[in-house]
Amino acid sequence: MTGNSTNTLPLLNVKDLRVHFHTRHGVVRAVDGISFEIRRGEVLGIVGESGSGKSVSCLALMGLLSVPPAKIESGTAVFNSSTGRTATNTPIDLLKLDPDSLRRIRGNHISMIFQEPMTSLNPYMKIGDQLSEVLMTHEKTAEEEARECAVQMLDRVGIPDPRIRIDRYPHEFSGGMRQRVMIAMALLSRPDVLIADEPTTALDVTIQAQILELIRELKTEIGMSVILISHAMGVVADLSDQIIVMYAGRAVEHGAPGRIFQHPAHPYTKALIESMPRAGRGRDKLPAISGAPPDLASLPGGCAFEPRCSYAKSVCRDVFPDARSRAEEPDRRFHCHVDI
Amino acid sequence: MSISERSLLKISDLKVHFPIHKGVFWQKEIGTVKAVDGVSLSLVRGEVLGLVGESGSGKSTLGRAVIGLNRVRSGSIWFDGAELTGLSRKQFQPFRSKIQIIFQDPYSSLNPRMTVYDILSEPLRIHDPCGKSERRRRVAEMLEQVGLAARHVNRFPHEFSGGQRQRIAIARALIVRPELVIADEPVSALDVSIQAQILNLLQDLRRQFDLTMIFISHDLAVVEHISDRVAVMYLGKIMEIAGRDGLYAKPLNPYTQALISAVPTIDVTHRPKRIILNGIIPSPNNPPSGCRFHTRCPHAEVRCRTEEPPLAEFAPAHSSACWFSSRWM
Repeated sequence: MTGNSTNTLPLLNVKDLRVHFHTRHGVVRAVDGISFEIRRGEVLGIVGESGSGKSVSCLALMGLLSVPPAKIESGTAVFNSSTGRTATNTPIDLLKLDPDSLRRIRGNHISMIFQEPMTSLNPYMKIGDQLSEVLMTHEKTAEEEARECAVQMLDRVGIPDPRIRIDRYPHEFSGGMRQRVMIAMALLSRPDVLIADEPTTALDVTIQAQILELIRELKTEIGMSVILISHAMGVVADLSDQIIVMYAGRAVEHGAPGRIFQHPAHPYTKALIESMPRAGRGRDKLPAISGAPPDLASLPGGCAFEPRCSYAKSVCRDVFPDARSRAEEPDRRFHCHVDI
Repeated sequence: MSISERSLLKISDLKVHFPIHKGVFWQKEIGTVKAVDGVSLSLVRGEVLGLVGESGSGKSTLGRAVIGLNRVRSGSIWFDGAELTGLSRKQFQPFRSKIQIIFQDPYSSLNPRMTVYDILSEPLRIHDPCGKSERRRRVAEMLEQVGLAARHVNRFPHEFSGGQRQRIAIARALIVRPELVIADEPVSALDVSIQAQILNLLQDLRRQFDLTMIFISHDLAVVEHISDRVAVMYLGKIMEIAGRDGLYAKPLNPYTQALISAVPTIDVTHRPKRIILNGIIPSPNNPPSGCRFHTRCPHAEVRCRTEEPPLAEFAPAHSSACWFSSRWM
C-alpha cells in the first residue's frame, strides 16, 4: 500500500480469509473474504462495529479460535520473516501450521494484545514471572537476564518503580497499568508483528495518548509492524498507514487513511464518519445510521449494508459488489455498486 | 443571588468520602477515598451540564450523590429549593420521581427476568399510582416516544440489542416525568452507529420533556455535542467549568487542554500538537498537595506544589482552578 517498497516481500500476506462458525442457529459468517498485505514497519488499522469480524480475523491468524465451532473455510496467511531476527527463510502459511510450530511463532514473531487487561493476566503469578516467562520460553534466556529485560520494558511502557512493581500481583495494578503490563509482555520478544485488539478501549484518553505514542516509537525503533483493531476511528486514523473498514465480515473499503476519512468511497464509511460527534460541528441532529448491524447467521444475498444504506439501488439487494477502484486511486479498493 | 433562585439544582462544597477499612471484621479505618472533595455547581432549569474527567475523577460519584445513592460527608445539595442532604430514605422518597438516572450498561441495568412492561410499569406503580389500563396506555406511549413499538411490551431484555436496551432504560427513567436526569455514560457501551441514534433521542426527549440533565461521560466529543455547559473534574474537584463553546475553543486549565488535545481525530491533515501527560491519575485516597494536577502538569511551578488554586472566574461564566489561567486568555 505504501507503494515505494514494491520490490520487498510483504511481511504478512493474507488472502481471502474466511472464518465461519457452525452453530445450532446456522452458519455464522464472521469473516467472509478478507485480504491484506503488511510490510515491515507498517501499521494496518481495522475499524468496524462489534460483530464485524475484526477480532475473529486476528484470532484466526494467531490460531486461537476453537475449532469447532469455528472453521477456516478458505484463505492463506503467508508470513515471511526472512528479514526477522531468527529468520525462517521459507515463507510459511500460518493457517496450515501445526499447533507446535504455531506456538513458536506466537509470542516470538507475532504477539497480541488482548482487549481485556482484567482477564488476560494470570492472577496467581507475579507480573515479573509472567513477563520473564515469555523470554525464557521463546528465546531460552536465563532467568536473571529475562528479569532485567522485563524491568526495562516495564519502564518503557511507563510503569513507575518497575523494580518494585515487578514483584507485585496483577490485582495490585489499576486497569490502565495492567494494560501496560500486557503491552510490555507483547513487546518483550520484540515481535515482527504486533496484533493489538482494541488496546486502548478500556483506558482514559490521557493514558490512550501515552500508549499510542509508545506503539509509534516502537514501530520506528524496531521496525515492528502492527495490526491495530479498534472501533474508534480516531485512534486508527492516528497511527495507520492503511485502513480496512469492515462490515458484517467483509472489508467494504481498504486504502490510505487520509483518503478514506476525507473522501470515503463506501456509503457505510461515509455514514459512520458523519454520525460521529466531532469538535466544532455544533448541535445539529447527528445523521445517525438507521437500524442495526445484520445477523451474521442470515445475511442478505447482496450487500449486507443495503437495508441501512441511503444510496441503495435494487441491484444491491441481490448482488454483492465486486471490489473496484477509481482510476485516479488504484490503491484504494471498495465494494459498492454506487458512486457516491 | 438571583442564580440560586432560578437554579433547579444547587450543589455547594459537596464532599463524598468513602472510608477504607482494614483489620479483623474491617473495624479499623485506615484512610478515606476522597471521591468528591468540595464541589460546587448549579444547574438552571432546562440546561444540560456535561461532566467529564478520567476514571477516578469522581464524576459518577457526584451524579450518584445527587440521586441519594451515595452518602454525603459534608456540603449540601438543593433541588428546586429543598435541601436533599440529611434526608432519611422516607423523606427522600418524593424526590425520587423527580430525579432519575440512566446507567451506562444496558446489559446489567435491566432485570433479565422482567418483561419490558414490568420494567416500565414498576416506577409508575411506586411513584404515580394509576389504574391498570392507564398504566398500560402510558407504558405503550413511552415506548413509542423512545422509538420502540408498543407491541414489544411482553418481551424480555435479552430479546433486544444494546441500543434498544438503552432505549428501554431511558423510557424507565422518563416514564415518571422527572425534572432532572443524571445520564451516567449513557452511550459509552454502544457501537458508533448506535451512539448517534441514542444521542439524537436524548436531544429530542430533552425538548419534549423539558429536561434538565447532568451528562456524565469520558468522551469529550460526545459531551461537546450534547451540553450547554461543561465541567471538567480531576481527583474529586472541578478544574474548569464554562459554557461549551468557551471551554472547547479556549480551555484555561492545563488539564482541560491536555484532555482536549489527547482526543484522536480522523482529520489527518491538520492535527493539533498533542500534549502527552506523564503518569496516571494519582490515588484519590492520598491526593497530591497543592494543586492536585501538579504531578502531571506541564506548566507546574513551585507554588503549585504547596498552594491549592481556587476555582476562580477568569471570563464571564468561565472558571478555572489554576494559578496561571490568565496566560491562556
